[in-house]
Amino acid sequence: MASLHRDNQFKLRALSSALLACSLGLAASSAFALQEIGDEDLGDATAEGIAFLPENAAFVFRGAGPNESTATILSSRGNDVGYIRYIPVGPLTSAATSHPLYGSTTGKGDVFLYGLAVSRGDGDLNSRLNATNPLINSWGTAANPWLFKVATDAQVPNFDLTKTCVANDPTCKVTYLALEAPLYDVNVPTGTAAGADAYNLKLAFWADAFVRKPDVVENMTATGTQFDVFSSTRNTPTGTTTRENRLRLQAIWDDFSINGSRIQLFQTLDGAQQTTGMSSVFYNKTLGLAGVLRFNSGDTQADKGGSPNYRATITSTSAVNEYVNDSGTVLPGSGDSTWVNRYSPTAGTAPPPTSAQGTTNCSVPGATAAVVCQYQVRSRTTRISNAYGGTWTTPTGVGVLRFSTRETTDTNVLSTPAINGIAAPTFDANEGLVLYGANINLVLGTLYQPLVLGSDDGKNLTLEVARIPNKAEIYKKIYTPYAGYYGTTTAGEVATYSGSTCNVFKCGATVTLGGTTYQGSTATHSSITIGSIVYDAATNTISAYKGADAIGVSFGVMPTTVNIAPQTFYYYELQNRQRVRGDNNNWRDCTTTSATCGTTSGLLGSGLKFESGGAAWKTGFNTGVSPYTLYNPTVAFTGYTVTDTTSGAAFTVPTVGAGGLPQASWNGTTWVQTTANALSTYNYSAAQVAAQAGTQAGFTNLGSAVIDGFLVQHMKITTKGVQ
Amino acid sequence: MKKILCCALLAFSGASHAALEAMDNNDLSTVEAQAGADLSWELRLNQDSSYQYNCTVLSYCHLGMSFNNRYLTGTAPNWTPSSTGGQKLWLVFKGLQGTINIQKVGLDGADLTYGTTVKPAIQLSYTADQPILIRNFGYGSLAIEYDNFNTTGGVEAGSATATDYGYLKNTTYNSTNAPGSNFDWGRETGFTGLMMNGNLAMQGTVKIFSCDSSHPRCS
Repeated sequence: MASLHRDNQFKLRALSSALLACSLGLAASSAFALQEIGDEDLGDATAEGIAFLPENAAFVFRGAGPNESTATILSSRGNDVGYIRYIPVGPLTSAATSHPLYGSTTGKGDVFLYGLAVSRGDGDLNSRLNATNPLINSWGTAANPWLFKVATDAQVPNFDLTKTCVANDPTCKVTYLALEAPLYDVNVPTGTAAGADAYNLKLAFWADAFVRKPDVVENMTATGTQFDVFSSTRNTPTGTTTRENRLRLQAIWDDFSINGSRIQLFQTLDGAQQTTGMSSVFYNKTLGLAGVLRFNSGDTQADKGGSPNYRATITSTSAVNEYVNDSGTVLPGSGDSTWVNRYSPTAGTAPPPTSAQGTTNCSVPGATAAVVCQYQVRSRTTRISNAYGGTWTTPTGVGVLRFSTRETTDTNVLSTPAINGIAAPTFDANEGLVLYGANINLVLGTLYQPLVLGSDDGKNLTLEVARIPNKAEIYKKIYTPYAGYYGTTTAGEVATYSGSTCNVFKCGATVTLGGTTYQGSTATHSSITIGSIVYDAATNTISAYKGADAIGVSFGVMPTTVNIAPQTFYYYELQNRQRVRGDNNNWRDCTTTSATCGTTSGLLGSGLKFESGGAAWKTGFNTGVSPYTLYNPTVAFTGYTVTDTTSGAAFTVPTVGAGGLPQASWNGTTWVQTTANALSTYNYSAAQVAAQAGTQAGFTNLGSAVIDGFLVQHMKITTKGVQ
Repeated sequence: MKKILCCALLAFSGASHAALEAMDNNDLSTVEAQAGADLSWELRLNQDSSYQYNCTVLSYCHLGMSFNNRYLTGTAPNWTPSSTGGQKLWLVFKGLQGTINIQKVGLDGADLTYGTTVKPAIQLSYTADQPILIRNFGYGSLAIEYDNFNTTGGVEAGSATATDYGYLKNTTYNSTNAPGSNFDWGRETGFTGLMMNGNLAMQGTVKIFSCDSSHPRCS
């Protein structure tokens, strides 16, 4: 109560405006306070509107009862049981009751909508009210408030196919009463005083819907049998109360805006004939409605070029390859230092002088007394770590609409607060249908294509969006020429079509008022997008973003981040080398099956590789025992000691499998591929991360969805069966 | 439409209650001289003291709306809709009732600034701990009805029988016209009814000001 009224004049003017609206809507003659206002005041206000600016505002519909403290209202959701009930009046039609399958079990839908609440968004998808900072600081601004106004549009074409509206034609003027939300800023403000909270609303309610048994009298104090449509099967076989006739629903839309919405009431023009699909009966000179209904979660472009993009952030780990020893210590470098000697006679030790020097048949070492082969064996372990890992992070900053049905309290019973006095249930935090980044922009009717009400039979109600007449003056205002689809239409003709789509970015031509640019409200086509989108500003068209990181429809609340744990792989190589008695310090390559040893010089040959490659291992490995067996890595050999008994040490070759060579595979007598691939192949692409994330529990993303640029050509909805 | 309806209901019910009559010019001046006022309004329509429906003659607990150029010609059930004349159609809210108890609304003045304009505004303020009590506010059924006489050239032929007027028709469901539908018996004919019940805990202020030609949205 800090501010005083400034003067008397403003009060009368504002009052006159307020009352004017009522009188316009009503032609109310009994409004008492009108007597206080002179005609001249009303005259002053005729061309004006009444502006509303809600500030620091929030509301929640609590249960009927004593007043509660603000602290209780904020902290306790159990009393969100103030309700709006849709009462199913009237008997069922024979069409419903005579259905061969469902006729006998058809009931009437009885819906209780509870706890309607509007507050400031808080990002919590399971709380119906922002408990910590609930107040919408400024729902609009002084320059861009809510508005209840009367205005007149000129040159609105009527339904007469032969008439052309010229400027200032009085028969083409339509005066309308409009309720307008604040306009949608082209540059969404960031400060709360600038109206930012209008783009961060939270709307929530929950509902119980029952199937009511028609032949049971309503009882608003006890459930009784009024919802027992399946009376013959309910509560069987164990006597437990089932819940087949109650649907619970919680709806929460967090972080969205209704800015740019507008509803118009007016008298429709005339000229419609009962020809060419038009209706003189329903369209002419009657109550017309037109609405632009906008519910926008925000800019959901998948790639905005600089700003935070509305799609999942996917990271992929970069694999690392290293040589390690048996204890996992990295062996740096690339040469001999990366190998681990498994069996090695002392360097420089001469082969045992058990035989004379010879050069024959070294492929069967020890087969003859003339040749003795001595082996050295070493292994190398390649460890590839950080492979096939990544994260999938759900985007934030844009609104989310969530419907959930699984309550976690008051389950499995047929009760509801309005009848049984129980508390509002709590709902599962993750279950339900979640629409990330939902933007819904609906254009229902215009001044020249109105929404009208009527009745065909004096009992049932019809709701009709007038058919677009075959009249260029009208359809050129509505139809949109899409680039690339002009056909034979000339550029000059294209320019005469002014229809466009209302989406989160644009809704007709922008308007600049008082130095601020706002989106318009003259678009004719509707748009519904859910999740990541691609927006083409040149054509004002939207398509769904189809990348693996697209987000949108999800059956369940998405986790903040999904981690795909990286994996580690090991690859093994075995090498041996051989020297022959006769060559003394010359090591020979033993991969050859040649009967004659080569004359490899030097101490370090590449030796025999026991690694992968698909080739059968042709050469026997000398166990010192004849016959020489093939090295079979599925068996741990412990006796590779050859004949060097002076300085050699026994060497155990690890087996295939987890404890031996985890990535090695032995197929009969053949190694299969164990060599590491190119390192890059161990990194997931974004699509692979998304695919892997999809296998994780709690990951329920189905991707984005878009319906863009749809136009209501003609729609008529009629209730049926009111007797 | 709902906005209009609400407006209508407020105006209508306000006119039928004495509580507002105390606000004459002198009172307004008194308010002006003070730092604002806290107002309490209780609007009650067709209810007794315990918020139960209390309607002696069902016909007079209706709110009827007739849209321009909505008529039927012919005879039931072979009606032909018409926009020029015939039996006028009505959209009738039957069994209208409800209590809205605004326990406290603060009435102040405040200034708003847009551009270089300083604009005075009425400021209404609500507090959540003094919620608006809404008790059984709504209607029992919504029906399309028609007059039993013709309207020609905008002139009603009229009738001496009340129920010949579409908005006064008060047929109820019973075992004859709604066999087996005990739930409906005694209710007035039509379809969906609507009922609100609860405490509307509302916090905040609403500044109301005239949007004149100095305002960017109304210029």
